[in-house]
Amino acid sequence: MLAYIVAALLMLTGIAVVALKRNLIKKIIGLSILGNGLHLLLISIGYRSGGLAPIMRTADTSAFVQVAVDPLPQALVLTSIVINISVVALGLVMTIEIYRHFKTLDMGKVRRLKG
Amino acid sequence: MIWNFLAWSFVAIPLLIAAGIICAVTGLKRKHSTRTPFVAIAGMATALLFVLLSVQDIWGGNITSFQMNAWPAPFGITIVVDAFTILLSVMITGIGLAAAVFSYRYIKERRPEYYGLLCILMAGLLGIVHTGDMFNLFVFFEISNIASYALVGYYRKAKSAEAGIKYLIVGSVASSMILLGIALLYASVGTLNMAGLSVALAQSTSVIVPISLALLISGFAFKCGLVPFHFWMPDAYQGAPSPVAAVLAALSANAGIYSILRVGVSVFSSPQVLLTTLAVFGIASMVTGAVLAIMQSDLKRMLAYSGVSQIGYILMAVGLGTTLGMTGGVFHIINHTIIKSLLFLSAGVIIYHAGTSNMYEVGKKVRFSPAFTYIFLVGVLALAGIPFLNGFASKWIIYISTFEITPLLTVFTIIISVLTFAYGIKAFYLMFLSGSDSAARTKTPWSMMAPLVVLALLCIMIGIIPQIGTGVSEAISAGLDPVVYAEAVLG
Repeated sequence: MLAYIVAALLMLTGIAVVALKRNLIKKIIGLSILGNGLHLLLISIGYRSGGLAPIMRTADTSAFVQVAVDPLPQALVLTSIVINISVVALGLVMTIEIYRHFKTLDMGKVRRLKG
Repeated sequence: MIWNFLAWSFVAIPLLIAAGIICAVTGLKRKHSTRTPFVAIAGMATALLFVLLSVQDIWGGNITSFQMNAWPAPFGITIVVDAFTILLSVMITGIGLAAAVFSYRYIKERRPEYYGLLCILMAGLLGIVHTGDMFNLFVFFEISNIASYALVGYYRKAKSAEAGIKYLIVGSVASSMILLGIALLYASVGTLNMAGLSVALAQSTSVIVPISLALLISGFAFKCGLVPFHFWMPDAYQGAPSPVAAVLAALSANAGIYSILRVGVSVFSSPQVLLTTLAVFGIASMVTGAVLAIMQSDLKRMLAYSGVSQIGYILMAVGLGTTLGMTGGVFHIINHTIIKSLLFLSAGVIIYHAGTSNMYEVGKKVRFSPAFTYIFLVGVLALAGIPFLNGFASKWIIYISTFEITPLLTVFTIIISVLTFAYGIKAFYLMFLSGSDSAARTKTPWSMMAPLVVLALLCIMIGIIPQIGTGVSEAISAGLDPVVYAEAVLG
């Protein structure tokens, strides 16, 4: 239960940082926190206290399923971590570009697109 | 390994990823970087061929599915190919090819990543329409998203960087919503296979399920720019290179609509509350998009808002919940894709010659050739739904389907069409008719004109013979049915 509460708090913090902070780097940190909250939620869904690592050593599948943790969320989280890293890396590269052109990281001042 | 030969179109995905990697590698050496466009064009043409190979088997309404690496369904990733998949794959590879050919002369600064990213964006979009697994859908969503963030910020200028970073932040929050929806779905039902989900959800009474549906649909709505989530679109499209804007507005938005239809209709069996929401927000999109489009002075922003409005048409028609509405909506997806890519590529030609996309300045700077003038006119009139052009055919079906619900809605829909005509003609008048005679006459390179000519001919062809589109749309709306879908995949 604690893990779900922490996950929800992390996600809310992440959303709040993305929405409210004006500094671009803080926004990207917010994205990262949001992603980590999601990963914690996914892991907690598959968690079982005292469960075995999901590596099959016996041929008896049904008995193994009773004691092992659910491997699917772990696979999802591994994939999602990789995706998150690439988004954060790309975001930081673009932040450098923004700073080069605007000499500021305040998203309130980065507005040249209009029509 | 079980290999189903009906699913040739799936081969296009690894092929495009390979083409993307080869583009990036050949581009590393400066002397080879002139060859990257040809690698990408060859890759996309081959991908189109593979997709066309599976057209005749799937077109009539067959659904085929197979498991990647032959793992059984709950563990392995299911690939499902049906008429909707094939239709969108033809459009993705076809218009992607058109955009790549167009870019050959349009993108002057040749850096290796452009064509590579374009190929990977195509592969991501193809993956979205092929997969039968919720998490795999998310992964392909992110592949296409990351490629499009980088492509939107491709020109390393202030405006592009701003567009790219804004799109990245909004897009990441949207995909977090999708992932949260998937996590809740897994927690409440315990499977992520779409066909398995549609069976399991029919019995589920969990309170989490509607929340996860809301999160998923909001995440997808970000991608296609339905009204509360449309604010990033004009910025992103204005900053992006025109061929990229064409690909995003036509294909990426399609992927969003496809996911809404696939998840909302096939997986969640279209609950009434979802249909009502789609209809209400669809109508809101139609109005907001059309009204804001009239007020724009920048051509690409105007086209972006017009996309919001047309996507409103599609989702409003789907939200009516009738078979005719679904057919009209799917048919309008086809037509909107063709028209919007035609108009965004035309915007590319205009920027290529005039150096600006501000409509008030373009007319003073250049005079366009008669051929290009007619092509742009075809695009604008087709968008407004003038008879004998493709926009009319699908809008007519939408008018009839709204008339069955309430005639008031029909009148309203026609008023929005008049607004569409108004901003289209405004753009045409400002850029083509109000020019001074002293302005220089332009000559457009062939590689830029050829995609435009093909797309304009398609507009006219579907307008004159709408039966091509209606037949396909009927097969597609039948294939979206959850029972048909689950039976075809689970066997």
